Amino acid sequence: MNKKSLEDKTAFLGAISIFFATLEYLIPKPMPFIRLGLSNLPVILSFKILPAKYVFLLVILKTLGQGILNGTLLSYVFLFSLSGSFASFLVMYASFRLLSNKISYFGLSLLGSLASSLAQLFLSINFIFGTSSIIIIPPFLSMALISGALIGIFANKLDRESTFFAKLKEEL
Amino acid sequence: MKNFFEENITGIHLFCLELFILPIFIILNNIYLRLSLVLIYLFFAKLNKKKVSLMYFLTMFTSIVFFNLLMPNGELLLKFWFIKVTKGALKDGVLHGLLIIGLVFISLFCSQKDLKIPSKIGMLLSQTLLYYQLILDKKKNKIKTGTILQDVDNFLDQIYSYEATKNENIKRKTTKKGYAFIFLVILLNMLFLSIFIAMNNLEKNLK
Repeated sequence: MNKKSLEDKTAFLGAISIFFATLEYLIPKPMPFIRLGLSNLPVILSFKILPAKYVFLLVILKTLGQGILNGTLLSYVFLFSLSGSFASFLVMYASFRLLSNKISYFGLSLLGSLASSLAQLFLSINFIFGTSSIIIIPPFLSMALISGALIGIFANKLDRESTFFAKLKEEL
Repeated sequence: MKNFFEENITGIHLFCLELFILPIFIILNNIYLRLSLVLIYLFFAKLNKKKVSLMYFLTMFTSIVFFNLLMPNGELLLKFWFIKVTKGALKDGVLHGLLIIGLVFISLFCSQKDLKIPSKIGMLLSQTLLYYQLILDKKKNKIKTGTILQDVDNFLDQIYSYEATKNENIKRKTTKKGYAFIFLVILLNMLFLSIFIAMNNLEKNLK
């Protein structure tokens, strides 16, 4: 495997994120708000592969790329995605800095998923559905916990067993 | 196969058109006008070969109307179980629902993959989309359930070894047909805006 620049690595991880988002977009959902968040997997893994500045850049690339390819740029979907991604990045970054090696990908994923869902709930209650929609909070947060846990388990497995991600980590 | 938009209008021109029609669509606070535009934009989104799941948008629209109905406002139209359907809440819900799904339809027909964003982020985004294209091209490689992780590792190794720095995109230009389409959409929006203003003035005069 040839050694690449940080920009190249970020673009590569961004492409994987967008690919996962496309896969998820193609799977029919019973409700518009239920999703697994597969595209967050490369972002979570990147905390041990890239410096924080580049993880942030990856979040921007992921959101913009999804917006352009799925055709949702400048719509509420993009705004939701952007706010959720930024909130989860901030929370995951803070936890990663504070707890460093004591936090697993599972923990990062759970926190990120909750932060993203809270940001999106805030927007949906205030701008889309109105205050009467607070009844969606419990099922929405439960879904966030389940999807966060699943992505976290998968990230831990990749971290332990994937030779590709091991090489990427070594390059840092 | 390329669609009308890919063949005739560049990504940046469609993006500019989106910036022009978005505020007009938001201002048109009338159910019939907004519904007409939503249907037109849905047609354009389909013309742009975008996947539009009507079930998804119907669920979205119904949810918005439902949550609006939970806050009664104005004349009571009917009572259904514990929900009081009031005129004001129903109107607000429908207008809001149409606004939200209309914004997505606008985005679906105005977004093109060849949209170039200036700056370093734009350059990195082009590189990301090139890697994405490589993933799509190579994804036919067989991934077996027994050796899934190993297969994914090999696949990622293969993609990662490519140099995704060459800009292979062919430069496109907006054609005469494309400019005509842009002009028509602008004209249509101006017409809707004029009708809306006229209706508002008429309503004021009647009061």
